[in-house]
Amino acid sequence: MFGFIKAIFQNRALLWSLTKNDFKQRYLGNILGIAWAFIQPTATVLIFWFVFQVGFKSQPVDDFPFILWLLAGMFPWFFFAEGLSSGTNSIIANSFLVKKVVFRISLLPIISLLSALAIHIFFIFFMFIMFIYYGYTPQWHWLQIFYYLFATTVLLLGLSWITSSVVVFFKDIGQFVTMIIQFGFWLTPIFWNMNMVPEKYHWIIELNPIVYIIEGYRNSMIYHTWFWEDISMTIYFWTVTLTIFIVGGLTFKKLRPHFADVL
Amino acid sequence: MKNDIAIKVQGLTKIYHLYDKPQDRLKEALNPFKKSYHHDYYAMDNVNLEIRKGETVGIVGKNGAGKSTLLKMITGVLTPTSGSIETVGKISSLLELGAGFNPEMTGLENIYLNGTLMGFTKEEMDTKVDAILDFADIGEFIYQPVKMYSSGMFARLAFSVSINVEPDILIVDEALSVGDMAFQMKCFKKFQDFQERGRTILFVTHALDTVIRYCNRGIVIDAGHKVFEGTSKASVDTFKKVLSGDFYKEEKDNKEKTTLIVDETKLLKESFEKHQELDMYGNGKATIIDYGIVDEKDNLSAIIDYNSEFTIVMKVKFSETVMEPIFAFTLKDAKGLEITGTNSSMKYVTTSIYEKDQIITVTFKQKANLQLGKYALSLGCVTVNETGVEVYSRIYDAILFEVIGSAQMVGFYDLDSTISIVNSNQD
Repeated sequence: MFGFIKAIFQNRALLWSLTKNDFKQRYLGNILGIAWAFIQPTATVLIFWFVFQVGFKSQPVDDFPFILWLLAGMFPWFFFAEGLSSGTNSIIANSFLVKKVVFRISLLPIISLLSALAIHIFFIFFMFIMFIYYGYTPQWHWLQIFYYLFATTVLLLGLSWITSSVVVFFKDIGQFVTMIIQFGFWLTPIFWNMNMVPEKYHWIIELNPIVYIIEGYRNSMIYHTWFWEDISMTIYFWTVTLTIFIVGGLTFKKLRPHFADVL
Repeated sequence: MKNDIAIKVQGLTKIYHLYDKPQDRLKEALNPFKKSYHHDYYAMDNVNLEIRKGETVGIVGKNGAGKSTLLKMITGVLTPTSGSIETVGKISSLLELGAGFNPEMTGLENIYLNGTLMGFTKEEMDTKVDAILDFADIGEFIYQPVKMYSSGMFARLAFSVSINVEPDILIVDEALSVGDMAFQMKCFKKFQDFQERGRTILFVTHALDTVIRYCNRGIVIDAGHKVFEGTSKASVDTFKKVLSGDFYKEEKDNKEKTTLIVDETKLLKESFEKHQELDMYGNGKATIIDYGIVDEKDNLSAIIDYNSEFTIVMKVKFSETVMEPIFAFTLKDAKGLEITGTNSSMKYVTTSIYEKDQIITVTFKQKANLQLGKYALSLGCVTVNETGVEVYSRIYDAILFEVIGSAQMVGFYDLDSTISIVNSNQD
């Protein structure tokens, strides 16, 4: 664990330039380039805003304009979905490096994650601006977003270590992950409120660690509660996440020597 | 580890698990009773190796012998199944041209990307970039995406990057066959420069004369085993034996010298790799049923030492009575240009009348004073009558063979000139 943090620090220059590369690479050949990274989610948000706010005239949720309430749940989900799918493909997509160049391969999922993170940070500030535009004054609670951001990153890294290394051997995992992401969107209270579900079923929904993150974003932006106010959820989340993180690290370490053989 | 050792390999083994079907891999991984669904393939079997600092070592072997696997393991891209590898110093490898190059990025961006992958900071690369550009010599194309490059430019840039990062150990796999003559010369000059500065070079090649010319030592790999280690010349000789299959025969019975005995059960041509572009035609009155090349030691071989005597053998079977046919051969170089050739008529060799079902053996004996390189041998049996040339049997590109050695010359062959210098001042 300590060795890992040290390695990240030692390779920070490599990480930085590979992330920049990854970022550029995705939108290379497009005239608008990196702008697409921001246009696409913005368009999605606009569509939702139009459909729900203008079309269905959705009622404010807990006295908050629906669009703001939606954004606070939607953005962390975008980050999670993007991070997981690009993380899963990070080894396969860079097979030319894995097979031909010697370097720390475990950095590859981190690189995908970092470039998803860069886009997400932009959206966090975009969200802040939206809130201010709607007349809400910034709160100390807003800064809590960065705690949840960190939590998401750890969870994502653990998950991508597992999926990215297993997918090398079983391509089917890639399809499976795509499916999970699709289901996950509807199984997580992003579009709907926890209160719509009878209280006695809440625990089933809360088994999903992403719920903690989505709720967390909303708690920071809308409900102004601190994460230690619901200590049991926090403990549950970190137990699950750290288990995934450790299992991920071990899986990756065990499978890494075989990557070049099968790619 | 001793101080002067650059690479030390001990008991290196690489086993690949081969599965008949991809599903078998999953079945094996999930099987609770650890039932095995694979069979083992030894790509490398217990290889030991020591390479000293400053040595240039050439690795030769047939396709699939395990040369690249060995290099990849030394570089660290592949993980050995068992055994150990120790290396001292920074390794730069050119396992495949432009590995790690992103085709969408410009040449310059790729130089920096490669540098970062090798662990250099941007500042360190700034100091090297001039040397790299200078060596690659691709002009303003450096600002273009690499996908726009010709394969020659690509090769030059890739080679330039790996050689100009000042590695202690340079590992090159078959990379020098690309690029034009001038660039190859430049590369070898850089090699020599490297050798003089005591750097270690390890390379795999099929160009055997390169091994003889530039390596201090050679290693022969066959079927995952190190079968020979010695001077570069001895390695090339051993490799030739491996190619012709004589190597293992000799091991079995050291005393028995293999001579050209016409074995009725085995055709000569089976000792040679069948050329893909082999083209056979003719009206069938006579058929070239067998052919081969015999080197000066009476071994069937597709590798001939420069200036040594070699014999081309062909057997012809007649299916009807044929009067005074002409037997011929021609040699083409790698570019398809006819270099030389002769026939029985040009040499005023009289041939006779051959009956149906008669089989004869024709031999052409000559010295290989040809430029080093690869040649394709074509054979023919024809006759000339009033209507022109009547082709009984002709085989184009029957055998691909190579002339190797350390001779240097310009053009196609050596006139074997004697050079003398006399002072001719008037007083």
